[in-house]
Amino acid sequence: MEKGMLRHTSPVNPLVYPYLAVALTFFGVFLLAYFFVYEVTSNKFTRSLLKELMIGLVSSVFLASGVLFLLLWVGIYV
Amino acid sequence: MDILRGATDKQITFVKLLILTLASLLAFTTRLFSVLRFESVIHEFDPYFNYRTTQFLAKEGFYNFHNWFDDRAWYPLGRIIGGTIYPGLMMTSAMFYHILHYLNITIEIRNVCVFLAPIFSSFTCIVTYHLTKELKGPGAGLVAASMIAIVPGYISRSVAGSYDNEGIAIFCMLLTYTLWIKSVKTGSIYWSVMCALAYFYMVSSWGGYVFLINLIPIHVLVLMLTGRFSHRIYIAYSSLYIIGTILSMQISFVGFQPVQTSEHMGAFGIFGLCQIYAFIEFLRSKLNPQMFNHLFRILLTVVLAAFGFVAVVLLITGKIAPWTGRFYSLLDPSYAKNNIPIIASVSEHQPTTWSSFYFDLQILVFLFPGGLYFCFDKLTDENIFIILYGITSIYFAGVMVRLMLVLAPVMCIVSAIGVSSLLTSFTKHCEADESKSKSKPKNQDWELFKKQDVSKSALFLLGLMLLTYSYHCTWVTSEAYSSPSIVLAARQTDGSKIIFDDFRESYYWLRQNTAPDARVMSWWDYGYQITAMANRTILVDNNTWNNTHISRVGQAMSSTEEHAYGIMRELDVDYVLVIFGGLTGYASDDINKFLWMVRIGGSTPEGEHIKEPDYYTPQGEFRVDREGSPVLLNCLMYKLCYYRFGQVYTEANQPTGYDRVRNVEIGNKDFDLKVMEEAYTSEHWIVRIYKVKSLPNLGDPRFPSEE
Amino acid sequence: MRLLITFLYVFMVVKLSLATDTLDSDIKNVDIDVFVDLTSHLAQITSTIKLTNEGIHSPQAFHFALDPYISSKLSFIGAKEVEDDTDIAVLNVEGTTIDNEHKDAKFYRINFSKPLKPRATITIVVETVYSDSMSPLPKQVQQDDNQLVKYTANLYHYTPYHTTSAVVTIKVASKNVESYSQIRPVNVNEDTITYGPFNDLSPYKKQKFSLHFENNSPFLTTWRLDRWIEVSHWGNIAVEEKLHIQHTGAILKGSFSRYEYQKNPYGGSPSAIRSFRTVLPASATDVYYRDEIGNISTSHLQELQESVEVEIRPRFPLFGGWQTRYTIGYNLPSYEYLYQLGSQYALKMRFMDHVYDNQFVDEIVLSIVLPEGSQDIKFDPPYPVDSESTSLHYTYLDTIGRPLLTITKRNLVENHIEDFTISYSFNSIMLLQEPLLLFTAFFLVFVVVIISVRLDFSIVEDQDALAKMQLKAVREDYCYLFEKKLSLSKKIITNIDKFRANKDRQAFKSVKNQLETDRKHINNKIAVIEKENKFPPDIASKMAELSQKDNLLKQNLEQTVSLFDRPAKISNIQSQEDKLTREREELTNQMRMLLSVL
Repeated sequence: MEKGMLRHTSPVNPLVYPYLAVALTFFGVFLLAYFFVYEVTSNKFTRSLLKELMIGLVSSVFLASGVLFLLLWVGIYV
Repeated sequence: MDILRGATDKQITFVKLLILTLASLLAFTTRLFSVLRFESVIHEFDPYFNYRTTQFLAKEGFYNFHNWFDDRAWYPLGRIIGGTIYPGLMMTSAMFYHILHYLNITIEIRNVCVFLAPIFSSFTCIVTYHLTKELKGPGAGLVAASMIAIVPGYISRSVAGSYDNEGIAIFCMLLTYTLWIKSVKTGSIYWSVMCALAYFYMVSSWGGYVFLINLIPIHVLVLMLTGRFSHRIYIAYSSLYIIGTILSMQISFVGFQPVQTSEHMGAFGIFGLCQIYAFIEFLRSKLNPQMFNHLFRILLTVVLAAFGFVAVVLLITGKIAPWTGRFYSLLDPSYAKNNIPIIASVSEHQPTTWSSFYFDLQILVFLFPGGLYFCFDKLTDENIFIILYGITSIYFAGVMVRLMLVLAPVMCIVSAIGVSSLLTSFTKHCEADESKSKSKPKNQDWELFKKQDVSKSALFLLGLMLLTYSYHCTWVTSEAYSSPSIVLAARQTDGSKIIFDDFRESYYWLRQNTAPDARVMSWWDYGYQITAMANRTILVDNNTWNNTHISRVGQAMSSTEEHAYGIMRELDVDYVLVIFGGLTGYASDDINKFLWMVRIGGSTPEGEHIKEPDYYTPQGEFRVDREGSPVLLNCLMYKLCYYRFGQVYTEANQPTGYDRVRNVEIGNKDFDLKVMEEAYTSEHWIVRIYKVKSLPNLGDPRFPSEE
Repeated sequence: MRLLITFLYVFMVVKLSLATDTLDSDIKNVDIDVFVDLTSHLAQITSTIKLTNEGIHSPQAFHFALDPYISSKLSFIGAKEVEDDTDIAVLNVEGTTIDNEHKDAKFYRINFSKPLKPRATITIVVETVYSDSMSPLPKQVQQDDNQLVKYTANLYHYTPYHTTSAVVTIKVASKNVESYSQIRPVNVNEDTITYGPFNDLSPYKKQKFSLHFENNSPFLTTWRLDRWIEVSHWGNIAVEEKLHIQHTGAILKGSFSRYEYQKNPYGGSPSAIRSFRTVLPASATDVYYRDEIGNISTSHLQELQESVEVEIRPRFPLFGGWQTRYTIGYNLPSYEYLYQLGSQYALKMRFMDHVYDNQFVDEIVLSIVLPEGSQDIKFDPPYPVDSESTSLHYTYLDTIGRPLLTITKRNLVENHIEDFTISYSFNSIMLLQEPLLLFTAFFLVFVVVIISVRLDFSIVEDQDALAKMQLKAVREDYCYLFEKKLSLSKKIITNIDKFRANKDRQAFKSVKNQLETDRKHINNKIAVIEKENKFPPDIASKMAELSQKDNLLKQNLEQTVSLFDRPAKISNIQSQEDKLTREREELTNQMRMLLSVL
């Protein structure tokens, strides 16, 4: 071990994992529900591809980070 | 904002989605009590066999599983596992396991098995929603989904850790019913084929599929009798019967039963009747009435005669097997008690008491008749089905406790129909309609006032009932149905929890400290657990397919030590395992089960010397104290349970050797074992393992030459 | 040069090719004090050797020979130089052979810290640990019997040099010594037997002696220890150890009576192993203790300042010949053991951790899992290992797999608890691979749904349903436009209110014009819809009603505007204003209701 190496800490403070997990997953699930309702109540004339893709994109971002922090919070250190 | 476009139906969909999601989540989480209190472990006895077979399937693959001959059970007979189980449960778990591992989500097979039942109960909620939606409407569907999420009758067999066939069988059953109703309503082949596929899944998962294959034909028959038979039902039933039966015969355990046993003949008969009925309708549409009547009478007599002749011939020659024991006992409950003691001894096969109906269903018991009324009110093809399902399952639930499971879903559905109808009719009158009341005089106001008040109080009452329902269900789940039974817990006087892990302690001792091919003799209850956890060969297990073998074990347990030694040498037994609850007060031990061992042991020719009255006192009581029968006090089971127990102080102010389950001081205290040796006793004396000593030298006076 | 040592030992470096040395016969042992510790199941022999150089050369090292009777059981050898009871230096020990001398004996060359000058004396303390040197005699005992063991070794310190005086002190596990070799001078005092002092011993002097005594200390052998270390850059190191332990003392003969065992919990069954204490690193959290069939609840955790102590009680007590397996695992924070500089990382952890006091591990398999994408992995063990291999391990959210390093070594004791270092390079961007993978997975699900709702598998086009859907779309547009109109009217009102407040005619006029143009746009769009589509009668009537109400609203708004546009006519402004407001609100509500029905 060379001199001058610092101790490694996680990029995100582990104490914040629970809150991040809950908040991000909540937003992600909310947008997912909106997407689902939109798909169910629209027919081929009222659908808009752009809107679907945008909601899907944002929801995936939130869900992905939320699930990641959820895994870290639970103890599965990926 | 765009969100407001078409707001109302979006809101309705959102509310439906929210309620369904919450119900599924609730169904999953309410089954997790035992995992949170103890650990993620398989419960009871039967699930351990399913777990072991699933481990094998996950590791060895499908073909090895199908061809698996298990030589570690039923020594020396072995068991053909591939052909004697319903593989649906194992296949489902193995499929989940492989998919997860393919995605590098490395969840152990044990966790997949433990949590499979709760996940499938979430799916059941969703399927129940769809089923009730077909019957009544989305509102009733939501109520049904919420009710079935927590109904104790279903939770008891699908709690996390209870890895048994019923966990997925109820899902398959309701799925099949939903698809059947869809196909009856639409008459499309697509739905009938989907229904057949769901039926195949049901057949692969549980022996109770016989209920389905008899209920659907009864439904068709009733529709015929009430004059509702139409081409839709003809298409639905014909497709379902043909494709479903062919698919069901792919399961090796079912084999050719659908065309050979009486339990399936009803479906076949109705199938034939469908064809005849449709043909008659076809003829009627083509011919004029007089010719038609003439032709009809001739055809009817010919066909009936032929059919009757064929049926009689088949029955006489034995090609069609009569109703098997287990199903026959459903029709004649006293059959098992008189003829097959093994079936009678299982606690799950006892008739249901009144209190267990309330315990398992609570307000559903009261709402069910109301729902039935609403079903009769708007009689459609689908409602007839649910009425039939409800009535038949009430009968069967009354015969056997285990079938309460089949009753729970239909109770939820019918009660939900009732609740939903009540709610819709009462909420209509809740708000006063001002525009109508303007022009009428005062007594009309009184009428409206009464209506509003009555509906508000009725809604309040209904809400209260539903609240008590959820409270009761959660309490029952927490107290009664969440115990793993492999780990026992008790509260000490100072409030701390003490854990009795004796079973696993002893099984692990067996696993680590005995020869790998050692054979263990115990009563059949523990067979599955010993093969799964201790990984040793056993003589008899919970499959109970060979009564003679179990009877031999029963004879060994009920005979004297010397006689039992002969039986144990014959069966190559190395170790004997008994369960003893006298030190801790654990009541389901072998002494309490002993009379069943005597009965079963004496039911075969080799056990003629074992007569049940010998084990009672002259007054006819079963006692283990000084007054007990000397035959009982000297039999092998007694000696193995109470060896060295006579010197133990179990309770203050009581003499040594005080049995805390029977609440007496044991009669035979000072004895020594001649042919056995205590190999291991667990910490709280619950499990006692003895080693069978090898043959003595010739001329040993302790062993006279023959009994 | 001077190291602050509190019993730190240097480990033997067993070179595969042993060097052959020549013996330096000028070195003489002046005084040897051997202390044999037989209180546990391992024989720990500490030899304090005072050497002198009687020649003219200055040798760099001297040779140390192992006791010939137990040499095959050696687990550990270490040496240090002491002066007046203080440690001066830790010395390097190497296995070697000596030409043409006693080829059956085992030799070690111990290098001095500086060459030994002529006529100088030096005191070296050599510590050796032998496993399996005490054999149970009798081989089988009953449950309540004491365990007696026999220890056979060389009485004198086996050395290639001439010894002037030597003393052997043996401490045994208990006061009960059954028999001991009667070789004068010998003195027995309770649990200590002293042989010697002996004078003028020739080199390689053999004298077999044996002791037969009672040793009830735990004879626990760990046959295999699988140590699994998983490093995660999210701040955690997961350690899991799987052990297979067995009681290797006198085998249990006869039955195990639980009654006898419980009757006398402290005195009975003296040779049984009931529990032992494992010391875990200080920051260990989430400790679990289980085996293949589930969690084991018989353990007790105690968190101390410097360590976490777990008292482990196996599911059943271990009698002679009984064995069990268990798994213990815990989490450690990464900042304790993982070091980083840029993209270079180094992990410094114990090769083997404490299992129980006086542990003996027959085989250890150390597996280290590094995060995905680690390159240039270099493993630096504290002592030579038997084998080293790399492979890939797949777990949650892995695509290419994590590098897995497997190292095996045999025959370890407590003295082998030392740190290893493993260094690797890891690009920090790779840490984002995990959320990116999840994102792709979720987005894929969305894309699949988007595609699947656009698929139409119907064989025949259903005109009815198609027309219904189109109508629904148009109705949605229509309702949306009307909602916008209503919000416009609200804006007009706010505009008027603002005008009343600040009397800014210019602003009022400009905003009013703007709103007027917006309104015109909307009206055009509505007209287009009405022209292009045919509506069923009930809907058409509702639409007509709506447009009627809309006109009334327009008039109302114009009246309101004119009310405030004119110079002040104060008299019935308030009542007129109220009337207009009421009318407006009623119209708005009715329109809203119609829209919701539509």
